[in-house]
Amino acid sequence: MNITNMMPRSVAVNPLALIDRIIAELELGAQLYESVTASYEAVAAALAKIHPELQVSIFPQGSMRLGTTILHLFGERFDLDMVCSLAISGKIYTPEQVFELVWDALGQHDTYRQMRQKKNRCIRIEYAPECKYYLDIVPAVPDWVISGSLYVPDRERKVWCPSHPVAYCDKWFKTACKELPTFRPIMLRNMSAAVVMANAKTSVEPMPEFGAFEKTPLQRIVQMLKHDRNDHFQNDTAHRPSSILLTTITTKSYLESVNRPVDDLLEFVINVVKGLPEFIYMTGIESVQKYHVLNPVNPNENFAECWTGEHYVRFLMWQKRAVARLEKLQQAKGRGTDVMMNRLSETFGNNQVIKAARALGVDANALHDAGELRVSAGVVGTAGASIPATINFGSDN
Amino acid sequence: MEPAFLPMAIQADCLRRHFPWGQTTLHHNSVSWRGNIAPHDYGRTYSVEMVYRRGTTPKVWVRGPDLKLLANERRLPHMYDQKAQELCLYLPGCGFWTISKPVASTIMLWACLWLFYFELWLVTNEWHGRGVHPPP
Repeated sequence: MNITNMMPRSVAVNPLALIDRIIAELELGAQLYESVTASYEAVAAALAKIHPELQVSIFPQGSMRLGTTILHLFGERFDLDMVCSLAISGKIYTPEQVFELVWDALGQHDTYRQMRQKKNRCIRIEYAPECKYYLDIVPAVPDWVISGSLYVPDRERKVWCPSHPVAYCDKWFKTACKELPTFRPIMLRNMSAAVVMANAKTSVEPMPEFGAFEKTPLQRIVQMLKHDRNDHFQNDTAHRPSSILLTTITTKSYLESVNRPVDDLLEFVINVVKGLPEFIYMTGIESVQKYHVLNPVNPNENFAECWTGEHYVRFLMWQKRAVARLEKLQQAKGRGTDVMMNRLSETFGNNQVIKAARALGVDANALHDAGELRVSAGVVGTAGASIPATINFGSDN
Repeated sequence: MEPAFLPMAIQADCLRRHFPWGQTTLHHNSVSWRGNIAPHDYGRTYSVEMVYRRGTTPKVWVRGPDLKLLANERRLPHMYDQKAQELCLYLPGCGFWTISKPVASTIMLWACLWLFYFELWLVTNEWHGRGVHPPP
């Protein structure tokens, strides 16, 4: 797409519209996406050449498939998960054998031999430093119980672990993304009833921040929470809730919240984050408590398998902080752009916020040039009376 | 050719229709509007006064809050008068505003836009609207 021909998305000044702009800078962009695709296709071709009988296919799973990538806090790279599916039986081969098979095959390739690195469940391909991603290749074999599901090797535990990355994303998550929040009818500030009625007939922008979302609200909420989690757990990775666990409970809380009418999207997001703990189930007595966040498409997989009471306590601490920060943003309403943006800086840092504010200013000016910048009840946006062209003049002398 | 003068009564009528929440006052040779403007939901509410007298150009002041205080003593951008907080809304003599145009659909909208850009300026320290400063 030609960037210069693109109309600005929105001039909405609210925390979520800014978060949307900030995250758009921190996610895997279209250009990088193409480069990643070329990279994993090259890996697949190399493997297929060595083992044509295995019908190797590589496809994205996790955040790349879900559209919820987010750049590491201080790192410059994305961790991108790829499934490397092989047409062999996990009943005949052990998890270690299959892992080694892929490892050895990559070792026969001049390029990948130097780049491969063993992890517990995947083989990491590390590209040159200027490349902004790693590929984590997860070997997988077909599940012999549930059709369409997969087994992936766990090297430490020497077992096959069930995995259902395609159905999780394409059937469950993407379906949830189609659900949208329910809003109460809007009353415009500063307006008499007559003016509200008159405006209702014309084009009142229903949810300015909504149009600002290039992605679905669910994807953006997941990205926002992942970013906040990375920040909170930067020195405590051992207790950091995994992305798949976080995505699962966020989606469940989202689905629970969509039918509760709200005034604006921020109120909705607060409901979603407040509801997160409800989707972590506990069994057993205190000393041997087990935690459960089941894979919605494969109940044999528990994303909270390794959780202890400490994980849960620290999760709640993070979740409470996230709610408090969002509520502080909500309370910034009517108190000034600068106040709201300063509060956003707590989560995203000053530089990211200033960058987003600048982009908003550029978009507003471009909309004004196009005759699309409008005022309704004193509010500058894309509804109401078109603002004629002007040039602000000097200062006092 | 001098554009046709828009009568003050029509100016007042446009103000009452488009900015009904404020106080529009019509005199024989002048019209004024006083009221609150918040440039968006998260913006502050500013007390704004607009006065247009026949034979002069319309003037707009922010009567409160103190912008200089918000700006942390930075010099305010696009101001005719830093102390009185009189806003520079258009480049004079270029036809942006003429006596034939309603202030409600020009000056007043620019005042809203000025406040919008002012709040962004507080954060970025840049004026994102079109603007020129005269040489000192």
